Amino acid sequence: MNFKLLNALEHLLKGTIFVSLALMVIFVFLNVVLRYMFNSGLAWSGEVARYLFVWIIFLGSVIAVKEQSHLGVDILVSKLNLSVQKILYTVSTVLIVGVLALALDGLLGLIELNAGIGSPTSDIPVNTYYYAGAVSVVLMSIIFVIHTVRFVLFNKSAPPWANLPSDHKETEKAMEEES
Amino acid sequence: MIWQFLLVLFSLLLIGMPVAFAMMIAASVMLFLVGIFNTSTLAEYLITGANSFSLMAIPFFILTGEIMNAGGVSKRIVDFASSLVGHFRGGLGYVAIIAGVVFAGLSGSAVADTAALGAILIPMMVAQGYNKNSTTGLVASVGIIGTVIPPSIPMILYGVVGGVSITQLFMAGIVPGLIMAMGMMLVWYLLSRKTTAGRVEKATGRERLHYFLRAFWALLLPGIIIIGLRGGVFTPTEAGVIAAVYALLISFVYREIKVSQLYDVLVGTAKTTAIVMLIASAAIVTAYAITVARVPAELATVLGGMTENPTVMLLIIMAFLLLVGCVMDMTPAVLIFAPVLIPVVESLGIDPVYFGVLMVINLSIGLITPPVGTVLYVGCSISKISLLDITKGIWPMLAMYFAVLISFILFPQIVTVPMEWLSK
Repeated sequence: MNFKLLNALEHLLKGTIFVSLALMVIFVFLNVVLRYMFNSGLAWSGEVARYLFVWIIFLGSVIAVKEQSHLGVDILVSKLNLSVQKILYTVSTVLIVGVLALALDGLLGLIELNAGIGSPTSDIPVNTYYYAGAVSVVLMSIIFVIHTVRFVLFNKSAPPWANLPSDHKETEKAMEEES
Repeated sequence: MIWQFLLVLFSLLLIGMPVAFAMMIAASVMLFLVGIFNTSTLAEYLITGANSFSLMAIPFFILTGEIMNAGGVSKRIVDFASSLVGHFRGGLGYVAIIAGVVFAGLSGSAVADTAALGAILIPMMVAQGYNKNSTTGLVASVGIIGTVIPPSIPMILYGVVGGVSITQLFMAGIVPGLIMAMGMMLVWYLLSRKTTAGRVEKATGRERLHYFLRAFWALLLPGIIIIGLRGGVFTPTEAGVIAAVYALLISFVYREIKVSQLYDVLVGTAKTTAIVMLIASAAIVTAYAITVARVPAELATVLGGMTENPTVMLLIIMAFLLLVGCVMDMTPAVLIFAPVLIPVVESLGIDPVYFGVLMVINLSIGLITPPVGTVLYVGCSISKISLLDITKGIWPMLAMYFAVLISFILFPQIVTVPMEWLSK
C-alpha cells in the first residue's frame, strides 16, 4: 500500500521535473536570443531559471533515492554477507536521516528568517529555494526509512549491492521487467 | 584535521552510504569539531551549492548528449567517420576514435560517450571479426576523451568549486584531448597490424560527400561551441543551452526524434543532473568546512615538507589521484579533492587551469581502471563480457594514457602553450 503511494509520488515528481527542465531551457535560451539578436533581455529569466534548477535538483534527488541510483562506493560492502549488509544499511539510514533532520532544522530557520523577502528582479519569494530543500529532505528521509524496513524485514527494495539469495534476485528482476 | 575528515568520509563511503550524504555528514562533523556547527550553515550552503548559474551548464550539456543519441545523430557521425577511414586495416577502430573525438566535442560525459559509441560500434566490430575484449577496451578508452575535450562536466565542477574560469579550462583541454586521441590511434595501429578482421569497402568521393552532408549540422556544433567560447561571445552556460536547442532542432530536421521521446530524454537528463548536483551541493558544504578547518593549509605543510619541487609534487599528487580514481567515481573525486588540492598547488606556483586539466585527465583514466571504473562497466554491459576480460583488452590503452599523463607533467609546455594561445 505504502509502496503504491510511493510510485504515484514518483510519477508526480517526474512530471514536475520534466516541466521544470523544459521551462529552464526555454527561459535561458530566450534570454540568449534576446541579448544577442535584439540587444535586450529579460532580467527575471535568469533568476526564474535558477529557481527551477534548484527544484529540479532537489526533486530529482528524491527520485534518485527512490530508484537507489545515487552514486556510492560498493567495493567493500558488496562483498559482505546479507545480515552484515542489513546492519550497515540500517546504520547508514539512521545517519542519513540524522543529517537530513539537521538540514531540515536549518532550512526551517532560514524560511522563518526570510519570510516576506522577494528576490531582486522577479519578486519571487526567496523562500522558494529553501522550500525545495525542505520538501526534498523530508521525502528523502521517508523513502530511506521505507527502503530500510522493506530491505531488512522482507528482502525487498534492496540496494543494488545487496547479496540477496540468487533465486530472490531473479524474481525481483523479472518483476521489474514486467512493470 | 585532514585525517579526521578523510576517516569519517571514507568510513561512511565504505559502509555503502551514497557519496552526497556521506559528504554532508563529514562536513558537519568537521564544522562541529571546529566548534562552529549550526544547522543553518549546513542548510544555507546546501542550497547555495545548487543555486548557481554556472552549474546550470551541466544539465544543458547532458541534455545535448541525450538528444543527439535519441535523434540518431550519433549514427550519422559514425557513418561519416566510417566513409573516411573504414577501409584501412583495423579501420573500424579508427572510426571509433574519430567518432569519439566528435562526440567529445558535443557532450561532456565519458559515460554518455561510451554508451553512445559502444551501442553502435561494438556490435558492428564484433560482427566483422574484431576481438571482443580489445574492441570494448578501445571504445571505453576513447569514451574518456569526452571529459577532456570541451564541453566537460568535470571541468565545470572543477571550475566552480575551485574558482577557476570554466572557459579557460575548456580551451586548455582541447589539445591534450587530441593528443590522447592520437595516442589511441598509435596503440590501435600497433594492435591491429596483423588483424584480418573485415573492413568496410572504400568509399568514393561522392559517398564521402554524401555522408559528410548527412552529418554536417552535427559536425558544426563543436566548432560553434569552441569558437563562441574562445571569442567570449557566450558563457559556458549559454553555450550549453545553445547546444541543447541546436541539437533538438537538427534532430527534428533529420526527423529522427519523436515528440513522445522528449519526455524520457528530459526526465533522464533531470535525474542525472540531480545525482551530480546533489553531490556538488554537498561539496560546497564540504569546501566551506575544510576551509574553516584550515585543511588545505595543513595539507600544504605536510606535502610541502616532502618536496618543494613542483614537478615532484605533481607526480605525488597524480599518483594519489590515480589511487583515488581506482576506487571512486569521477564526480565525487573532483568535488572532494579540487578544493583541497588547488590551494596546495597554487602555493607552489602551479597554474590551477593546467592542474585542472591534469586532474581531469587523471580521474578520467580512473574511469577505466578496475575495480571501480564506471566507463568499464558501461563497456562490459554492452559487450556482455566480464571485468576481467575488458581488463585484458584495455591495458595497452591504459599504459599509453599513463605515458601521456606523465609527459604532460614533465613537459607542462605541451599543455600550457596551446592553452595560452587558445585563451587569448
